[in-house]
Amino acid sequence: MTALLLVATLVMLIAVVLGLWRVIVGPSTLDRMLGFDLVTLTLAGLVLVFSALTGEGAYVELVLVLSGLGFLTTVAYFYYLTHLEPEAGAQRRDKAHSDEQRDDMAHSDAQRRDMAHSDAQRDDMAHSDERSTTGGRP
Amino acid sequence: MSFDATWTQALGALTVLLGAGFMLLAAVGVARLPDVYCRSHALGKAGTMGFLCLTLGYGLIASEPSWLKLVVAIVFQLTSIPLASHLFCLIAYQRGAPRHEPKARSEQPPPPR
Repeated sequence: MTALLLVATLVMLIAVVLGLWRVIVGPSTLDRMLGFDLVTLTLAGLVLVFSALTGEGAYVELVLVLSGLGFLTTVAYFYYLTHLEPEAGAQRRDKAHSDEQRDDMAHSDAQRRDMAHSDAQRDDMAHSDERSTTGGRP
Repeated sequence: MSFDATWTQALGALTVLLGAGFMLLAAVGVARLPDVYCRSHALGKAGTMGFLCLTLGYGLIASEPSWLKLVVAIVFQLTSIPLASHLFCLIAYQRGAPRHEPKARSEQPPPPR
């Protein structure tokens, strides 16, 4: 049993090294975040295997803390990306949509319909604005 | 009784080894796949399965495991890992992350008959 657990430890150490390689190499910040997530998850598994090897039952709480910490770091980073950097994300998304329009004709048709729909909505809002402004100013 | 204990422990060790293999699969997917979306897909599925197998194997190996903590860990990971994977894909799409595009059909060699 001990030999099997040691083999499992080796395999997971290889997994940690691969995740660290993705953290170092990763072309974008999201790739690095993904590699870090993998490292945290594998680390929690390594703590479980270590606990099984030593027969100490108290490490399970460490596993709980580690998994919660990894998830919280991910969510905090996503909060930073979405709420504290909204302008950059919106611009890049518009650019991606225009690329899709050029690439995919059927998709662009659907998007044009969506845009027309949103234009109509905007017109409605403008009319209501006019109505409200005229109502407010007799 | 002791025979039962060793049999359970051997089964648990095999389960732990299976979970480690799934972890390695997730790591290979994260390291080798060409795209943020593909990588998050690999981590979200193989990572969840690997952690599930590891926790069950530990529960089989340990002499007196506290199943409450193990079940809490399993439930938390089963909810949080796919959620994080989905968030990765969502943010990558919102930021317009580059997608891996395979070769067009005309550039690919014709399939063998």
